[in-house]
Amino acid sequence: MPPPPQRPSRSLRFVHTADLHLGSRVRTPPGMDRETAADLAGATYSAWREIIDLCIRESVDFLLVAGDVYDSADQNIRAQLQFKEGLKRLGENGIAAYIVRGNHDPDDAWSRSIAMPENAFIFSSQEPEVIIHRDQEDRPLAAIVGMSFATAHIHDNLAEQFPLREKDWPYTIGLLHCSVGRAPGHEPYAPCSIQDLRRCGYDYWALGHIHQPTVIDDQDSRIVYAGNPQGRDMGESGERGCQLVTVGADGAVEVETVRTSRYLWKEIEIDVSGSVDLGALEEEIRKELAIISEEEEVPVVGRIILTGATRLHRELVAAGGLVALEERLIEDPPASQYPIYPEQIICQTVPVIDRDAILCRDDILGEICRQSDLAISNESGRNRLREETSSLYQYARAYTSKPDDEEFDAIIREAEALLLSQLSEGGGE
Amino acid sequence: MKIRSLYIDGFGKFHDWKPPTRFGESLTVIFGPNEAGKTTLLAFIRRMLYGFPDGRKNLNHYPPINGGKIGGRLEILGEDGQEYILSRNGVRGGPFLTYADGTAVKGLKPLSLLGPCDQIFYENVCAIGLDELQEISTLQKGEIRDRLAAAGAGNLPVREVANSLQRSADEIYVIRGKKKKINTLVNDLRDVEAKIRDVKKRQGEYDLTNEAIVRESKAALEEEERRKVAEEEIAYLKGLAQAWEVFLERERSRDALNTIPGIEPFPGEALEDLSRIEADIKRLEAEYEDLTRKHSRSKEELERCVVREEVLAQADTIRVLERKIEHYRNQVDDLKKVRLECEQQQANLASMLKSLGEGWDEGRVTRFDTSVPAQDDAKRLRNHLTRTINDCAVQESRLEVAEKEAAEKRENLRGLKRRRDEIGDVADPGTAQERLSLAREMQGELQRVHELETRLHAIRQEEARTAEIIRASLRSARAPPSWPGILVALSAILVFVWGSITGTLQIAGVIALILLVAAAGIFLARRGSRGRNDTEVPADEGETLADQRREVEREISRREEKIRSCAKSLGLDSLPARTAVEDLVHTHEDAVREADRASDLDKEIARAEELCRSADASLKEAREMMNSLRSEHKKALDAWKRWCQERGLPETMNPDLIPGLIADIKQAAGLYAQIRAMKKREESLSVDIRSFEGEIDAVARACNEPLSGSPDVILEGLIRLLHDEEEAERRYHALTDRLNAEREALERTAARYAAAKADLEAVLKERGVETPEEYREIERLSRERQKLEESIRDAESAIRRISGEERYHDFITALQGYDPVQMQVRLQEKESELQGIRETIKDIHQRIGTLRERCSGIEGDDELTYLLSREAALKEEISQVSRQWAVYTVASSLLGMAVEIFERERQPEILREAQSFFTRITGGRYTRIVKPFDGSEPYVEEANGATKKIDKLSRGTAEQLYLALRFGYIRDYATSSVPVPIIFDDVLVNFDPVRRKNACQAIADLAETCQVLYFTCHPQTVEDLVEATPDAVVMDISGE
Repeated sequence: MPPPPQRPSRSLRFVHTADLHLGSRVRTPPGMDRETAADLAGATYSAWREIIDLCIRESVDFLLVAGDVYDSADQNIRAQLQFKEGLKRLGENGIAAYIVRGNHDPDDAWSRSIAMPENAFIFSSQEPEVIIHRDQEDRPLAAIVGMSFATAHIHDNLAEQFPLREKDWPYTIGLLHCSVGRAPGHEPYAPCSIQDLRRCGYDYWALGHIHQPTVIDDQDSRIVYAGNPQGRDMGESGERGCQLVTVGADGAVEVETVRTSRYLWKEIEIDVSGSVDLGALEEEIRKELAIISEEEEVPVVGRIILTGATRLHRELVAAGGLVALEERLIEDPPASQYPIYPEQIICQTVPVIDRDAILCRDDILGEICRQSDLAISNESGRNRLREETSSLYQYARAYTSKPDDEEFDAIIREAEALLLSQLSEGGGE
Repeated sequence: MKIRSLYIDGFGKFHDWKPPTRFGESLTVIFGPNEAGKTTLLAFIRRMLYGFPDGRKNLNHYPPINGGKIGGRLEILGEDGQEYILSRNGVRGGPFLTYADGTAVKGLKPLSLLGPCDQIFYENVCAIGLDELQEISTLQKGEIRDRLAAAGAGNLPVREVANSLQRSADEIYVIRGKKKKINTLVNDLRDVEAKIRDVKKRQGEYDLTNEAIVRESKAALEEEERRKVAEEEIAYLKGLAQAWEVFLERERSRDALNTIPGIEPFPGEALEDLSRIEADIKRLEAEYEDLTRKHSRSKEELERCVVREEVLAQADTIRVLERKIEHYRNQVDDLKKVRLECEQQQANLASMLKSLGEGWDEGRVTRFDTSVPAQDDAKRLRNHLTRTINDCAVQESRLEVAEKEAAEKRENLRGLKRRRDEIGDVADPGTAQERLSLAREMQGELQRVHELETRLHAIRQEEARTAEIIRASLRSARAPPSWPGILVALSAILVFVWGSITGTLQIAGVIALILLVAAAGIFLARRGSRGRNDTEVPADEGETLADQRREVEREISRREEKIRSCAKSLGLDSLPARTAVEDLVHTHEDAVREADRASDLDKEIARAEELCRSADASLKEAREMMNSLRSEHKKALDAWKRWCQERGLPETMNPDLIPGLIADIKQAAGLYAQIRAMKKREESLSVDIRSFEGEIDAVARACNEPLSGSPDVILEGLIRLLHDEEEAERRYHALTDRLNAEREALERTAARYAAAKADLEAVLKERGVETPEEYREIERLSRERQKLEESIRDAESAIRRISGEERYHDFITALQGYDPVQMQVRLQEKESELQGIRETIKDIHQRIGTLRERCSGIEGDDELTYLLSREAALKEEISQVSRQWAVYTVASSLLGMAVEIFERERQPEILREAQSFFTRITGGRYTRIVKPFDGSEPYVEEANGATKKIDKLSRGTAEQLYLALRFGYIRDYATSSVPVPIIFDDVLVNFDPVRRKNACQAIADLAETCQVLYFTCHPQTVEDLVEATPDAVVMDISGE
């Protein structure tokens, strides 16, 4: 029997991305050299270029951008121009782009002087629009329903306004910048629930707003946050990229997360209780960093968190050991294929001290422990200490805020550890 | 807890070691000199309690150097009264705790025996070393106060830590500070924010700028329109101005035209035609005349032309000869040359034959063998001859040399013999030497004898003197005899006996005593004088001297004997005098020298004779050689002579000339051959020449030409002649042709002349005139008319060009009413208007340019992102730095609070304890330590009530106070918690005795509360301690 006639291997392919935040601030580590810092600062642009390259490489049918293309508060012309450049490149390769506006880049916040190219379609902010995307032979491949933000602060449920899917619509995609459910750490713009989205009966919801790539729902109606394609500080650590979605002719859907970030932000915990001196500690750290660099295969900006109980605690926190360590790691970066930049070294080690034993003692050390316990448990004790520290926070109030209670308790514990390790200076032989 | 005893398996120098005694319950003094192992023991105790330090640390690990495994055990008495054993084996691993019988202890960790005393606490509080005290003497006043405060607070570096925290905090931030870290960060942040604001402002202007560009562009377009309009108007006005001139021209032309009647235009060439015809006529006339003249001349020429036929008939032959003449000439030359050469060669040959000598002719020359082998032969013989001659010469010179040599040697020999004879007979060196030595010996012996005699003389004198002395001494005091003394003694005894018999013992005794004393005196005197008596000595001496004398005499005679024997050997019969002996010695020395010389000469003579012999032998050889060479030479010469004979050459011929000779002969033979060949050639050349000359002759005769001159001259003449005649023939033909042609030309010219005349007639008639002048006049007028009409047309078309076709009529109308001056004014006005417009346009474009630049600046500005990132980074840094500052500040607060509470709650206790120790240590001088609650300076109080501030104390007192505080703290701790053994490492070593005693008292006090282990190497300290604490245990480890 002859084999069945060849069906086209795929019927639809597109890339879903959002929250590009082109040109927005990247929290470059203080010790980084100017060149790398400039490169890191421009990493959002490189990620956008990477996405365009991906679209062209994979010959996708179209690109979906779910809002927050750039931070209008920055009034960054270059970001808008770079966005336009990317879209133009897509146009040269016959790829369309479907864009909705979000809270950071609403309709009224784009430059009047920059016109988007022909292959880019920006959905209206008045009401949801439906576009049927056709291929070169004019066959309908997908239906895209989207709506933009008119202004920055939209608190209405925009999802409610989206129309139900119609019978003759091919693979249907909803495109919207919104907050589904309660997302902690994010402002509730265009809030809606999963039900609101499912109700429409679309095949795929391409969402934007939450920077961590998240799949809300992967049943018949996929609800996906693409996440931002390049982390900008340690709060946006981990893998960042965009979604490459392939819908086969038989309807099978494959979603692939493609990394587009040039720099990876990562928190790295290293237990240093075994290190006997600062040199060994440094070696341990370097080894660990080299391993991580090998694994990740991309330049890493790492926050190094030292943990464990160590005798070196005093040297680290009180004798400038931590600062020296940072400097040496910057001056003489760990030897690895991909560079690894230290963002900060946080010392969460504790001195090797039997705190319970000290607490029982009648001397100053015991008193210190008792006082810090008191401050943590007692509101007035803590307030007294807060008083002492209020002057600096008053001076720099424009730039930093007072620590909250939890943070302050951590400060008290650190102060206590510092004191204990410094006072235990004598001893040994 | 207390340490009862310990056992060391291996630690430093100790192996399998137990201390000589058990530790005491209160004070144990461990005594041993330096290097006894006190420090090792101290370390052992510490490590047993708290474990071995990390092997990687850089300190003494006390590896067992005398064997055993590092470790051991402590026997401990716990607070609960139980006895425990705490052991550690090896550097790693925890301690083992067992009961005294070895059973394991459950539920109790080894370190809990020590209570809450960790290693750091132990070191700070429970161990007191000498360096601590010594450090006090190096501190500044203020530091002492802090140190004392620390001592009373568990020996913690509170002040330093507090200061360091303050410093660290201050680096970051100080109230009203301006240059701290936080200030820098905040200032940087402010700068960055300002920059961001600027950039954002610029970015915000993007749209406005673009709109401004659009506006300006529109304005530019409008101005362009206006410019176009203005330019058009100006063009119009300029056009009119241009056309005005032309218009005037046109008017003028029209006026002129009216004055000329209408005449049909002439064709352009009309005048020319006329002139041409007139010219033709003239020309033709002249031609006719010319031709006639020529014709008659030609006729004349023809008659003059004549030709010689006979020469022409010989033309071919002459030509042939002409071709051959060169060849003929060459042959003539060759002939001459050949003849010359031949003569020359004959001359050469003649001279050659002469040089060869008599009897040489052609035959001989050719017969002679000049081949190469022959030459080689000659050479060989010649060389041989030369060689032999050379050898002979060489050998002659050698012979000469040898003869000379031999003569020399002989002369030498004669000389030596002469010298030897001069010396004459003489003894041989050996004998002479013997004699010399004998003479010397004699001399020596004489000397010795002389000396001995001197000595003998001295001895005799001595003897005499000694004898004198003996006699004298014999005459002088004699030794007192001994019998009086004995008598007296006897008397004493008798008296005593009598006394005892008669019962008057007392008196008798006294008398006896006196008598005894006397006896004793006598004996004593005798002993004394004996001491002074030396009779025996001189006697002895006398004897010795006599011996000596005799000895010397013997010696002398011996030697004299020897001398005599020597003299005899030398041929003298008596004992010679010294001077004679000297002379003899000299003589014999000379004799020895002579003998040596003679023997040397003899040797030389022998050598010289040898040389003579060998020289003679060489001479003989050389002569023989000479002879043989000479005979060789003769042989060579004979061979040569033979060779010459064979060839008919004279024997006396010099062999060196042979090669030359052969060469010459060869050359001569060659010359003969050459001459023969040349003669032959001469012959053939002559033949050829003669035949050629014959031919020339024949031809000349046929042409009737004279035969004078050489054949080739004749031939040349003939050739010339031929040419001339051929030339003449040609001329004749040519002339005939010309005559004919001229005749025809004449006829033609006449015809043409007539035609031209007719034409002229016709032309004139056409225009109705009679003469050409009239014709011309009419033509001129017509032309003028044409010109004017054309000028008018030109002007009109010029105007048309300027105005354009459509506006032509408007132009004409305008021009008819034109006022130049007014128009000029209007033109100027319009032009300045145009200028204004142009400037406006330029300004607008400039503005557009600036705006565009601003736009592209904004578009290309990528600083914003960088600045934003920097802003975020700085904010983060500020956060972190603030947090750090908070940590330091909170730590300072905590420390402050803890210290405050401690001082308030705990310190009074401690000070009280310290106070009692202080009183003790200072021997009662100071009674109180006071730390006022109001925070003012602490002070001490003396027994007399005086107070002293801490920093006013002397160093020594400060030390004492330090110790007191330490002790106070310890006791306070020990009484409130678990007491542990206190270790002292020889702290009292620098104390003066009084202080030391007092301090020992204090230590004794302390030992009541907890076990004290005092390590020292000073016996005095041991004494003082034992004195203060009677039940102290002294452990002497010096013997280990």
